[in-house]
Amino acid sequence: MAILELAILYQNNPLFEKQFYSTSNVLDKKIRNSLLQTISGVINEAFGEEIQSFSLGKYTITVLTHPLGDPDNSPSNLDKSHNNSALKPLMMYCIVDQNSDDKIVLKTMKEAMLQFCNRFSVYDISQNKVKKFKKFDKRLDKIFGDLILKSEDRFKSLF
Amino acid sequence: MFFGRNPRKKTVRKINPQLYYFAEYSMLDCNIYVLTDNSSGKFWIIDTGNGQSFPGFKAALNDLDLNLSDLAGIMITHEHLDHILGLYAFFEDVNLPSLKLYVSPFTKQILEKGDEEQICPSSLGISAVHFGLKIAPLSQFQENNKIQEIQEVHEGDIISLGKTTLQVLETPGHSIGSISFFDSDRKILFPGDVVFPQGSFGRYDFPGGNLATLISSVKRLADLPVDILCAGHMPPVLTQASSQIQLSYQNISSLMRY
Repeated sequence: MAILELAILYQNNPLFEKQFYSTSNVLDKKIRNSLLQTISGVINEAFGEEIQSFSLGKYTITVLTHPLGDPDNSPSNLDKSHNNSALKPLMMYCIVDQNSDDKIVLKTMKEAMLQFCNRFSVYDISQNKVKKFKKFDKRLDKIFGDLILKSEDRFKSLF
Repeated sequence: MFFGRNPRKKTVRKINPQLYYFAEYSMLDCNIYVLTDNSSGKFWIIDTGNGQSFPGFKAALNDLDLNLSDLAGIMITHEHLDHILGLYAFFEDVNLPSLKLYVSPFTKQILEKGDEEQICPSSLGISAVHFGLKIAPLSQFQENNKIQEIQEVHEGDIISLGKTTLQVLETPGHSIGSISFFDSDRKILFPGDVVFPQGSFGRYDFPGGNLATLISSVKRLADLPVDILCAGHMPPVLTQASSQIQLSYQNISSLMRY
């Protein structure tokens, strides 16, 4: 079990990407591109449903979407009932080994999403201030712990 | 000292004839707001920055023909170093025997003790020394005539600053001692780091922070009729700020799903 790669996107723009293992080695370039196209396509489709998982060969791609009020949408148009039409999805996806425990991956992704939304302002997210999000790297390592290790590497880390 | 005092003059913007916005520097600083009273010539400030920015603040004040000897009071929105550390730079530089400090009970306790761990938590790996400042119990500064009194303010208190009156709102969650100041006549809100423009909101992962408490505080502010939002960071919102605070409430509330 291992998380191989994680990315966070806002309106199709990548904000943060991290590879724990090179997915270019484990995934054929064509497969990888088709995976990412699937993810992009799913942003709008899956929005409203919090979680989606897709199995592809030896890998699973898990997507978590989080609705953010869009600052670019005229705030004066927002009424007090918090009109959902002004929401835009912040999306996180992980590429994981097929045999990974979904529940654990998902729990960890939720924690990562929570901490990302706490650490960075909605303004910075909506403005795609990619440089700022690099600071999330260390925090992500802490959140994921040894989930980023394949079984063989986990054993190596024990002995 | 790791961070030298920054002599670069702070950028100032006039929000209305009684209110000026002094923009934050980029690193661990905050916006400072100056409220003036033309009839008495006195002025008050909200938050003090990190001390490193004090020379730049002072230089910008001079350009407005404001002199620190006319500073009548300082209001502190919360106890975090980027808002409060500048206080010690003020004490180091000037004697203000008639100065009043307006702070929450929690912030008062910290200042009276000179509790560095609360102002600069060691978990952040930073201390007042990094800013060339020394934190000491407030009594030392009172003995040296640096300050007249420290006034503890509570929910609903009204602070009169010349023709301006500010209402105190207790808004914890970003920190234990977070308070906001609201000018209901001009519909101007000073929320510290509770909410920011564009639907943003304060962090709750510092010591004393709490998500559920912060959501309640943001909700309170979202229900106020606010035209001008003068937050601790980011430039002020000058019109229809309520809708942006409502967006902040919407965004922070969505975190409860986790």
